[in-house]
Amino acid sequence: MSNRDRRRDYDEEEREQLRKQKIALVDRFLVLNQNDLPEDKITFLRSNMLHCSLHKLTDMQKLTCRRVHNMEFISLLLGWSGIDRMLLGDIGLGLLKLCTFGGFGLMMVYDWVMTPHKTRYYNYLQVMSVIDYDDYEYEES
Amino acid sequence: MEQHSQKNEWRQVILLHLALLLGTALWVAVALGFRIYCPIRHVTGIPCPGCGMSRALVSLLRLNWQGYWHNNPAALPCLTAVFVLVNRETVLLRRLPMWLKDGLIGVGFGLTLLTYLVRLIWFDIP
Repeated sequence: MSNRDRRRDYDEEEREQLRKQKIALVDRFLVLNQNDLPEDKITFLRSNMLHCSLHKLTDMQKLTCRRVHNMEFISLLLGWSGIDRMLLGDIGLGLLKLCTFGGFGLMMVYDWVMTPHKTRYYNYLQVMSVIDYDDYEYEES
Repeated sequence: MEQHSQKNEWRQVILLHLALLLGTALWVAVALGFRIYCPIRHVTGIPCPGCGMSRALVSLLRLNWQGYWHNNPAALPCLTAVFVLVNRETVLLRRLPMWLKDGLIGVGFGLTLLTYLVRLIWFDIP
């Protein structure tokens, strides 16, 4: 076997190991956060995340998604103050809710219904914002 | 491991119900602090769908059906909708299909709204 062939085998082994590491990191992240991400977007997220670099995926493990159960708890307890909206990025509507005392109760009840869906979508956007498309690694054909 | 996760699930149910009770109590307490019994009635002069619900539930607890009907007949459907809403992702109602849970929430709130409109147009809301 020539040195060139040995080098090619080693490169393929290294690529295979890298691929397995990436799959393990991505699956670990998705399993830990499966309840806090939209179910219909998980396949899409997985395919996008697998194209990221190993360094990016390791950083992504530190990303903390908002827990749906915690957000439900906050929405029920302090929904009238608009804190649940503010935690999901809607600062303006959160302040409006605070000033109108939970939107006269109506916005508060609406948020009780919509909080799980909004939390999951917020987490999905957080993950998508971390995926850097310039850092994509495409497999060599 | 399974027992631990079951304990966590039941703890989550208790916490959610406590949050609902405390949150509602806080909202009412702050409103009463400003001497507002109903924010919508205070601002617009028109009663809201929830007006009379607490009195209706108190009447129900005293088994006073006439009092319940007079104060707000939509109290029970609304309460059912809120109960299903709070528990839809917990171990309590996990076995029910999602369409049924969504249906109960929709019907509960829909009945509340319908009762409110009927009372607003044809009857008096105490």
